[in-house]
Amino acid sequence: MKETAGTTEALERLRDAEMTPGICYVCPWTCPTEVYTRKGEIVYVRGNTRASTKGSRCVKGEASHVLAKDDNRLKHPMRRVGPSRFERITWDEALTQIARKLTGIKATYGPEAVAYLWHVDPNSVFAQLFLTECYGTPNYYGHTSACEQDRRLAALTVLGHVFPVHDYENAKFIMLLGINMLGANQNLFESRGLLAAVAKGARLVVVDPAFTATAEKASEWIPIAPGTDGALLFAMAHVIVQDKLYDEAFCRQWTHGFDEFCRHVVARGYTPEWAAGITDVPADKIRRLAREFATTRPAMLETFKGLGNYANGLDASRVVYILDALTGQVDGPGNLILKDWAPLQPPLTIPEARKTKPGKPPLHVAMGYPLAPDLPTQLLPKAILEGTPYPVKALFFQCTNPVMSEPNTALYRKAVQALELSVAIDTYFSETAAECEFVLPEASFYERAEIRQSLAMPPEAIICVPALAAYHEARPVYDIVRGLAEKMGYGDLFRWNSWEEWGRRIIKDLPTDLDTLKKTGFWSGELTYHKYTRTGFATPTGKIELMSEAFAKHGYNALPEYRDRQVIPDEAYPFQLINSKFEMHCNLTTQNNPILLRIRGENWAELNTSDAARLGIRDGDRIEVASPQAAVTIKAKVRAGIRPGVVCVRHGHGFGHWQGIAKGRGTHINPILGTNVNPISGGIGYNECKVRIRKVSG
Amino acid sequence: MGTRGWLFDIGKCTGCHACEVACATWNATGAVSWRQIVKIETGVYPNVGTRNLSMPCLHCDHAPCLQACPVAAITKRDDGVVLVDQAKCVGCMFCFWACPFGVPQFGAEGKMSKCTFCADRPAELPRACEEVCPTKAILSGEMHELEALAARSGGERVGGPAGPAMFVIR
Amino acid sequence: MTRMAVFWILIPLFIGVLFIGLYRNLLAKLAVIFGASGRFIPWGDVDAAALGQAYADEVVFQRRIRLRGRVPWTRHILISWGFSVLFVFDILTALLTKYLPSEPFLDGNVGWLFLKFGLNLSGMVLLVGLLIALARSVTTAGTEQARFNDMPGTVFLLLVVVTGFVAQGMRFANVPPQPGYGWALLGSWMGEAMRAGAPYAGSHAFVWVTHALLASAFLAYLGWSRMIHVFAAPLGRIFYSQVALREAKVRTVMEGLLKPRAGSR
Repeated sequence: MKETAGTTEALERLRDAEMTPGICYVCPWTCPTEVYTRKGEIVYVRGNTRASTKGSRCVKGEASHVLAKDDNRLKHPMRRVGPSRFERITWDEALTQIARKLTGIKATYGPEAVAYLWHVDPNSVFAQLFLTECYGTPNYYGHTSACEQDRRLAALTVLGHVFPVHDYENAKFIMLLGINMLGANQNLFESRGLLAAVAKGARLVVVDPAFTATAEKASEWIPIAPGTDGALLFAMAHVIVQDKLYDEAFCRQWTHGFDEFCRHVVARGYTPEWAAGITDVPADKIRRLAREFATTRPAMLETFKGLGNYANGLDASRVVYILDALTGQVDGPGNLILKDWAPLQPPLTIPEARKTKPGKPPLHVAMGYPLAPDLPTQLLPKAILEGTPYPVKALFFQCTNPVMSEPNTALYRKAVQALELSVAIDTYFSETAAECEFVLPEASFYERAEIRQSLAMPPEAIICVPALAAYHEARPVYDIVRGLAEKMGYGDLFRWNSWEEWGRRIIKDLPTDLDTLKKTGFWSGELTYHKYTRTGFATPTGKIELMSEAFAKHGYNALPEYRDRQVIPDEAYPFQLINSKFEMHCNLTTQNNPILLRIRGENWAELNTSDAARLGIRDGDRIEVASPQAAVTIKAKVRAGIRPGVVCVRHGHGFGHWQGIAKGRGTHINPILGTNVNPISGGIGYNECKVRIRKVSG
Repeated sequence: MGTRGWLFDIGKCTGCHACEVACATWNATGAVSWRQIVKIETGVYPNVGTRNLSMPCLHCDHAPCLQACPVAAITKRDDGVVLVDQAKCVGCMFCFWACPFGVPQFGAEGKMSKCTFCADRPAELPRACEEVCPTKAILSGEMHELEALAARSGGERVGGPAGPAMFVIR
Repeated sequence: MTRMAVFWILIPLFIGVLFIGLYRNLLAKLAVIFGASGRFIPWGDVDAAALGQAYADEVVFQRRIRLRGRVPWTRHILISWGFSVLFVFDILTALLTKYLPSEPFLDGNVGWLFLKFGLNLSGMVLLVGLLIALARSVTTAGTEQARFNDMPGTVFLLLVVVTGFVAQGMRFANVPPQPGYGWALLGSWMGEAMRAGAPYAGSHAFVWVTHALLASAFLAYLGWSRMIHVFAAPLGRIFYSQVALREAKVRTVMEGLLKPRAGSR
């Protein structure tokens, strides 16, 4: 590998350009970048060469410079004046009217009737401070329920960490279930580490009904029956318990409920033979995998979004981390890293006297999901349309498009239309924006500032310095919130001359200064292992909870159980519909990108060669995919690399509103999905769907 | 300086196209792509294998494109890099037909363009594709160094009479 | 006589140089193509319809050049079509007047007038195209664009065309007006204009020999300069229409490279 660090000045000279450190927001992994500009235009972009990215950038990040000049972006604030009709208004008009409505809603329904949703969180901390502390609504939420909600809750309750990262490079055995490390969401140093490990001879086992980009590199691909990973994991636990392959000393000292868990898996009869009948993975293979995992050091098991796509995903995800705990290697080299965060402070502090205390519990608690790490967004239409658990009258959608991304899109559209105040803040127009009363243009990550945590292994802070001047009237969220605060009598709290002012407050505890940070783009602390030996685990017991105290407290089963997924294919609908994403696309920001559309212009439905032959479908045919709820047509991709009986649709395409080059491309699959909320976590069960397919045209 | 070329690790390439986009950005290639990326899936379920290849110009020792150019628009630098002078190119596309790898590209206007090995980057810098590759599947360097590296991982030089300057680790 | 001897030695020499050029810069290049990649080309799969379409797009209408702009396209269309048609009419004229039993065709002047008209019209089209090219070469001299211009080719061809018209004008000026003579367009107008001047009998022969030598020298030049594209570009571009062929060629190589080694996955 050729060293990229220290080549910045050379590139600046070659292109007569200036490098500005940035953060990529095309997807939520927020990679630190280097943006080269000349005369106000981007001439090159690459990953930060000194941070863990080592110059790397993924395909959609690398292509994202296009959005800096994309004429299809939102240019000025707009107000809806009729179905699909908007009029241009000034920022002052927009903020005045939104502020007036917010004041009215607070007076009539209480501040809790307002909720703020974001997808990736550029500067949304400002909105959080204003809405949760000044205005007084507890309802400030992200998009996790559409993503790794189950994994997050499992990690929080078992390991006491919100987002474990991975030292793949030093691992000798890696088993990944429902996580495509080399696919759509790449933490780039992890991708590099994973393949470096494979090159060094590590065993990589990929458990997934689809032959993913990660499966390509695996020593073993296990095309498990969809939604049955929990059974495989329990059976592995059974083998490890029966054969005493666990690290007993570690388990006794650092886990809670060790004996109970061991007795539980045996008493329930979670044997490899039992699991073989459910998972379609032979019992011998399960035994071998369990032994390989438990006897190889370092070895790690990991999951992400895949398991949470089913109603039984939460307990399956918990068993992933329980297995990781049983071998006693968590937070060590070649394993899950329970990373330390950089000591960043809020950009502002709201004095106690100016705070408003919410009178009602946050929505997720009121909805009956007290453990949900993020809002069960599937229940939001109910709150809006029926006032259950309490009325929601106003919503902010920052960089999020639930009318497109949630199942049951028709219901979601209706819900947004029923709001008294709806505000979309985004770089592009969206299906959700189309239903909103106000549409506010947001600055892209090339035009705004931020300081935030990175997802590298050591504690790391990264900075985004504005590389370009504002795009038309687009504003960063911190400026939008400041404007709103001024209109509502909090202007004195949200006052600064330049972003550097609050930037310095954010990094005041870092052993560096803003000028250095603005040059290098990041600050990195020391990577330490086994941090729990000093601090314990951040769970109620301070240990890894094989038996969860939090679950018990809320009346759930403290020990994980295996249950079937909810929707099982039958004669009328013989296929399980599963989903994945292209590595070239992520949400709105990539959909009008000519470079990415040239590489991948539309999505498709993958089905197995044998299924296709039986149904007379050839690669490239248009097929109808029908669920009991609705039907759509889509292009077929016939391949050997998918389990028979499964249809895998690539998500995030078929946006209807585009006028640009993305117009009319791809198929939106969500209308065929019904409302589906995972129990306890409140995540969305995207794969709880059975379908039938037929050829429409060749 | 010795001749330069590539070391490509098929085992590390995920076929993500980041190299293609970085190349297009650094070299401002417009609608033309200087890297061709293929993903080939073989086998019968469940014994499936997928392999990816990202192909730039291989800057052959005996470049057939150079030999086939009727107007001598293609030249080979001392460091082995094969370059085309667009001012001389008459757009006859003979180079495309001569290239064993189909590397030469033609924009709408018809002049040939292709990978220049990032001609403007000094040798000590990585190429654009190389620096951006998330898994570091692409390596550029002097052939004798790459040969040693390739040998360590069982890599071989791409065969053929043209002498393509690329080692591949399969 | 010595002048004509030089003429008769030089003409075959120039033609010879053209053929050597075509051999060196066209046939030998095609041989390289077949040597390097012929084995990847499944000749049975040639798509004739695409070939025809490509002929229309690339040769007749020259759509790729149109994409570069209206002016470059106009210039190139005028030069390429002017030159091609003029060349065909020249060959035809030579054949009919010198080597074929042409009396029935040329009798009554109709055929003769057709040749005259064709030669002059195509010559004028070529002349206009060349003047646009010259204007561009002059206005962009010294800029980066200048490297893309073919100044020598333009001037060379311009000399051929201008000497042709001057020679024709002188010939007309030397004889009384003939019926239907207006069909010679520029030639006849120039003849009229020159008639008023000095006798051109001697000069005409000199100009005509110069024109003939320049024309044949230009043919020699065709095989050794950027002008080789007259032959090469239509050939290569028409075949570029064979998408299946193109993809098969790349795929064959890539599949070969992607073949796993024995024992690896």
